[in-house]
Amino acid sequence: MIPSNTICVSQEGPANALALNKDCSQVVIAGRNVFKVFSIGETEFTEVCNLRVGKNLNLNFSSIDVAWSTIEENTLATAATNGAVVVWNLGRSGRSKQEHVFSDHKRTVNKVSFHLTEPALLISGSQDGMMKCFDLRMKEVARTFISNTESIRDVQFSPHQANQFAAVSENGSVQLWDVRRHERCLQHFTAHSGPVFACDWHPEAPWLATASRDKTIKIWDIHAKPNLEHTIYTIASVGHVKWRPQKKFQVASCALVLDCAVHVWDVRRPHVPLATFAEHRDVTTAIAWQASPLTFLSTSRDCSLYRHRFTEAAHPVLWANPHGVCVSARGELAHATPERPLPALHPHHHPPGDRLVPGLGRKQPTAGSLSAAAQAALERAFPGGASSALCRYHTRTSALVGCALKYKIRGAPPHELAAHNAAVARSYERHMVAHVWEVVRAVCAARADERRPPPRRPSPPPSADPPPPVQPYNNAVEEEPLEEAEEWAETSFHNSGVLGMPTLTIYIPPAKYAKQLRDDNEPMGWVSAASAHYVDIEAADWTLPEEAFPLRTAPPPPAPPHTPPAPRDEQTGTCYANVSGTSATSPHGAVSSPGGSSSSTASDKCYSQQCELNAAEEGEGGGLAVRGTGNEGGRACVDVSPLLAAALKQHADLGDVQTAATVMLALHSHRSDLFPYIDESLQEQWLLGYIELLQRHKLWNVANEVRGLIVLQVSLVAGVTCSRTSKR
Amino acid sequence: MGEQNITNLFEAQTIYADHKDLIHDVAYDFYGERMATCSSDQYVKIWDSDGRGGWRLTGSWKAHHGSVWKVTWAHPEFGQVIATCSFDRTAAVWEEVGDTNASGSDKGLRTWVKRSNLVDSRTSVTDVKFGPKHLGLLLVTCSADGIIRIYEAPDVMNLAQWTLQHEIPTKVSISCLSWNPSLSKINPPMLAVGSDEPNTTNAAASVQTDKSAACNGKVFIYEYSEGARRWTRTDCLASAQEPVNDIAFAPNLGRSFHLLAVATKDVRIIKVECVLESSNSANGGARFKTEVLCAFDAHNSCVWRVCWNVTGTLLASSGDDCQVRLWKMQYLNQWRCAAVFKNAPLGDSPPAARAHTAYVRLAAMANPAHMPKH
Repeated sequence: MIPSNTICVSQEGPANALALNKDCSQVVIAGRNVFKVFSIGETEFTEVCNLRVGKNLNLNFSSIDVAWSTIEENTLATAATNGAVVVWNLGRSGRSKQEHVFSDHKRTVNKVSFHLTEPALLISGSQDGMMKCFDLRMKEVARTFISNTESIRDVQFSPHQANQFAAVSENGSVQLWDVRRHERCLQHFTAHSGPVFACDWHPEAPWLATASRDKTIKIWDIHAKPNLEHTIYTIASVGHVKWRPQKKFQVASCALVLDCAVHVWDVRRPHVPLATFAEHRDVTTAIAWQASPLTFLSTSRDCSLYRHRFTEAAHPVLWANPHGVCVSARGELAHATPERPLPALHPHHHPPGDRLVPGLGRKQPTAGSLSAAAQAALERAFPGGASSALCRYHTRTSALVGCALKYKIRGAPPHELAAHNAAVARSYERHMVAHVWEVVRAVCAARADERRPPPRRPSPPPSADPPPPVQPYNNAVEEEPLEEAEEWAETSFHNSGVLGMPTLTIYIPPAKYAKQLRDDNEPMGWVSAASAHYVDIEAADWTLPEEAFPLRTAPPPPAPPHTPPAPRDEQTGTCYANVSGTSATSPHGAVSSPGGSSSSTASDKCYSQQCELNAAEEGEGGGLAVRGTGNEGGRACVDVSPLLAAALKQHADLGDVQTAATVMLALHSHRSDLFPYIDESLQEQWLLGYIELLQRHKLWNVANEVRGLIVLQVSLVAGVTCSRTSKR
Repeated sequence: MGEQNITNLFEAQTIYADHKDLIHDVAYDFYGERMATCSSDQYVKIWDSDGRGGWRLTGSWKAHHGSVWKVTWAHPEFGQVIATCSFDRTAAVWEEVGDTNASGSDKGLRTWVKRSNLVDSRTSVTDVKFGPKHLGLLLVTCSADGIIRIYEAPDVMNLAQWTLQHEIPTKVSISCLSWNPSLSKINPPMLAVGSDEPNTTNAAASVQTDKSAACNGKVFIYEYSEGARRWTRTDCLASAQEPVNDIAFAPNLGRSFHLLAVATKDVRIIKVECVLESSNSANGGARFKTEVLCAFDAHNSCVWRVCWNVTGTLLASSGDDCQVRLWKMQYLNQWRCAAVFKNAPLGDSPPAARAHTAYVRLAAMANPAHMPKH
């Protein structure tokens, strides 16, 4: 799409060069098959004259370059592929405007250039390595300059010293000559490692810009000894270069191959163009500023002539991502950010009434999206915006590594492993995880007891924990093997002090032991702290927001866990709450309000909601309920597998694959109970995920242990080893 | 909310980094022990942890002829390998040569060799990512002209040979992409791509785009179909309508769904759930059920980057406000801002004084308990 203020005209053939007359109202374009003068209107180009007329359209018309005298209104010169330099007089009557042909060069002339103050002097640079100065009045060659280099690609008179000119050649060298002395050049230096295709004198400073096939533009201070001031790095061979008028540091360039766009660079920020004009569909062959920093013309191999307005520029720097963020496996965060961010720029056109987010306008890769003021601000800030700060922040080290190292996943019966792991989890303040382990322990212990009548009394639970200590579960099993199944759903709230919020705890059977202690108002017998609305496994150290209370206690029914946006919570509700709902037929009556803490009213309210939830869950989610098994008399073996499966899935969903994987591993043979609820591929995924996590932390031993266990546990052997071999 | 003074908890230490233009990307390796940075100055630099909290420059070379947009590490199983992509229309694969373990600390810079140069794109290559390792050694690139290219190194020992396996035209400018890292065998290989195509505001333009009006979204999901042996667009997330700057799947270690973070005008976390084939018809044939879990405009500006931690429990984002925000899931599946790191911009001091320098700031959080309370 052509921006609205850009004008364009297409010709029958591509132009190799263009030149403006001295007041920049007309432009001449010249190429192999085209040679025309246009007048530049506000909205269009108007053809003034077609110079490619006459009887003998010979090679003299096949132009490589064109120049318009800076003094004489009507004088043009072209450089032809056959080595001719042709002078044209637009003032001539008749169709042919050809004034004179100099056929002194033997090979292609690459460049013609008028003296800036002397109207009769014209200089040419040729493929034959020579430059010739023509006297237009005498119609003869005044002087010949032999470069002793390869082909001359560009010659330019200096605006600072009237008789000096620069010549660049294909062997990478730059020469400065005095037009009056042809014996030897004033200066000679190697500027580039490849052919130099163009040069341009800075209008004010004693700078010369050179453009080369080595993909760079170099800025030389040739005040005394040539000194490299700046190097601009582009993505392709640079074909032309032109300083932007009135802007000391800005230079426009176009590429010879590959890149069709015209770029304007700020020499102080040499890697990113300040502005880009990407209208051309083929490589740009010539550019010329219209004596103002706001407009320039360009021709291209796509046969078009454009006048671009600077306000229509696209600014690549605005689409480049200035930020980098990365979080490492170690929990470190690296952030690269601009030290001097570009100003918030607003787009040119935005619909009125549209809420404008500050800085949003920056993301506008389209041309001409910036207002003039925004563009000026960008231009000012641009050169200084080239530095990034790279910051590193150490986020919390997760408990994952510690747990991974301390967890036991083999070498003991599952319930002992679980007890150990629960203690480990608690020591890292991962109470939810500890709770899961406790449940595992309870289940496995029950199983173990079935087989071994005299259960070994486990060691007392770790005492240092802030939440209520663990009641040795085996007591209960000994005393009331049936009841434990049914009653372990006693629920209530109390402040765990860890999460700073009411916590749903699960009450394990009123064993004698516990009953004795009941009088002390000491909530023994609580297996562990768990909260139905708990989510953040890892960050137990986070004090949860106060808003938690209103949300929970809000009187009107739909209980928060049921609201659609929180489907996973629903699952939690299922997995933990069901336990409470099943056996306790009248939970309210059984509330023991253990701590008698200040939050009891609120908690009670929560609790009643929780019960509603349970009821609801039971109604629909009967598949997960424990009820049936409990009533089926006789067997202590409660089928908690669905609950456990749900809990593990929940943990996996929360990003805690460690718990899911290690619990499965620790279950050993009991793991098969889970199969109906967790399909094999998911199990495998958890284990692989856990192994990857361990590898990231370079816990090779643990990873190998896990692998070894997987291999042992027959059901997965095939799947996992396959995937392992495929990884290798 | 206490967010403002959080920066007081960090003490900044600065180290000279010497990139001469903006750093566009930072990437940690698999273990978090090496870091790569890339910049508009066409250089890529490699930083190694010294194990004591410090980082040392061990590699620095001119990688491209244009701004280097992205850098990414391959899985260490394939060696010390990175891929870069650039404005110069190429992507490149680099490998560290020599003994990477011994004496590197003493001899200073190590050598990285360009193993391959992928030159298929005709426009700026905007993103490059290695595929999940269980798929082999895959590399995907995307370019400003909207073509996604998937390369494969058939022989993982020969990094010089990459075959272009798939070319997927999208017809819109693509700015970023992300592999779904899921280890599950059930899910086919999946890619999410984000487009930075600006929304045309004028009505005329919207009329002519009615062909694509089926979905105005800027995030597309592509999946590989084993049967058809090609990648097909299986979804377009209608919830992301603004130009997208970055996109990231959360590491999926056994979740039953996928989490996709999108950096657009805000930070979005989108839950993508596969719909079972059986219920497909009921869902209007959609392959996925997507749900925007949250959309935060706390950056109050364009968001440029999102990045997950390894477990997918923490999301970092950065925007034009030059702040990093950490997002964490709290109770009730609510995502909350967990921390704000602010790097005060230097303001309008004369650029000459500090021109062409960049610094590394090191900061350590004194105590996690100091995290802000909401």
